Amino acid sequence: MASTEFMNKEYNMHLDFSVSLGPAYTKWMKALGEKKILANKCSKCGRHFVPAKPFCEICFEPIDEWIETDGEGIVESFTIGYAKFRNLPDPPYVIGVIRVGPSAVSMVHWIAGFPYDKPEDIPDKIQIGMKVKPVWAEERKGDLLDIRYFEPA
Amino acid sequence: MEGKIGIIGYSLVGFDDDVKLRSDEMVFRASKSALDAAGISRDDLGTTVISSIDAYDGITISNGLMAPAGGGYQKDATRIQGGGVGAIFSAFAGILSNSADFSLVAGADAVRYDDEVVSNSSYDALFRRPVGMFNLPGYALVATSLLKEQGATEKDFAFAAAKSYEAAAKNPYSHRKIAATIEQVLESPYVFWPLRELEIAPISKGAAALVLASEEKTKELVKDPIWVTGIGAGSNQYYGSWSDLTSLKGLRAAGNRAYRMAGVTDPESQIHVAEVFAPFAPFECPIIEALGLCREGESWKMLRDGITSSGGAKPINPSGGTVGTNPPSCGGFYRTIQAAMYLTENSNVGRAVVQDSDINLGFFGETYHVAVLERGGV
Repeated sequence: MASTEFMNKEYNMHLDFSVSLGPAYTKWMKALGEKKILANKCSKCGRHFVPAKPFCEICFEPIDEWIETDGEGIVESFTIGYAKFRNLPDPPYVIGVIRVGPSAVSMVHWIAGFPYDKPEDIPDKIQIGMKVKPVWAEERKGDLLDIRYFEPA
Repeated sequence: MEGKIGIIGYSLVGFDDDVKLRSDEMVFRASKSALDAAGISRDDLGTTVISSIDAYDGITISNGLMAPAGGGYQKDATRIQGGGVGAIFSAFAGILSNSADFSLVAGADAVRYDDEVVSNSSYDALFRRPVGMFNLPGYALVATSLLKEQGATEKDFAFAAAKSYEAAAKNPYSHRKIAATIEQVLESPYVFWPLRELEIAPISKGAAALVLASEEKTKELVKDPIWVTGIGAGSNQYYGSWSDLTSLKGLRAAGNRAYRMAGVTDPESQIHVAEVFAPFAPFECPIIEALGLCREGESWKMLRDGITSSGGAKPINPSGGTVGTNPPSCGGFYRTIQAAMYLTENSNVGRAVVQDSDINLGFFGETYHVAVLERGGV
């Protein structure tokens, strides 16, 4: 069947949402505004969490112990974007899985601030296990992007 | 839990870059022909289960549109968003609880969408969406761990893709029949290092439906049926540890449940073929390790030795796999039907495993499903 036999219908949606963050997520996000990366801790299993969690899904208990980390993390995995996508920067750029301080879990953020000559050299510039530290945004509002990116420590 | 259900009819429509029918008509055509193949009518159905994902369908509560197209008018109709094998899980439960003698499961992929934006919308707004996460960088982050920590090479990645393309080229239902070689895969550009364009699954359009029946009705209607003898699910942490994700703990839990139900005690020797969901080709290796189809750490060697190629001793994705055909909503049905066809066509093979998940939208908080299929005589 030729494609011209049937009509196509194009449409799009613009949707606005708003969500309350509750005590744990609010505390963690507000601390970013003060250039601090907090961890919270399950008092039952002793695991720390960055980002903070309101509950431990293994012990199934609420969490209310907090510590401040030094912000340093290690790279657990990374990827390099070599193609252009709508919500992402112009390539090349690096997305990393980063475990901060004593955290038992990981967060995802940009890795930047390291020298390289050619885009194809980037895979050799980053290692799993490499130490990284946050680079803070000038203007902060209690948001993940208060951390501009992580750079080699 | 003991018990089994029979696969008594199925239908595939597609697969291609695009289709010329809307989702409801696709589901109707697949469902109608699956019922015809089973030799039953809509009136015989007790339950229908639609596999669909609202974000891919471009409409919320898309099951409202598709349940009637799957024969669900005035029936016990359910929709599952976690993939086709999850829908079969729901049908399995309905039949074993005596809610139904017959259940129809169906799904379609027909709408065109922006994969990056839809996938990004499935990531949480606080911690992952702000850094642009979507399915492809997520796949690549896991691929990096395979490369750096699990003994794989970039050539292995390309080989996993090439052996799938070789099989897909021989499958009349395949979406991509390009028969790309290792060299061609290695020449394709990096999208997200270390993954290359030809190592990543396409988005395929088409539809699939299966008719499932109780043990009693299956024996009445089918001489040499294919059975689903075990089925299980397992999920991972959402904000979890990286090792929890890369060791596929949720999949291990799902496999163990399915094997226990099916009476499989040694999957390495008792499972002979598998259809698994690897939206980036090399992901089949950690999957088969998590499913116990080989010893830990041996999947890459099996790949290199051709043991998991379609002509090998333990074929993984002889249909051509996910780089050949990847319809997000009905992919689990596609893999189940391909495994059933394989068992029907290869009388020396008794038992298959089908693995599915919701990682089309991306990693984190993934849920895995596993089903064990057996031929009648086993």
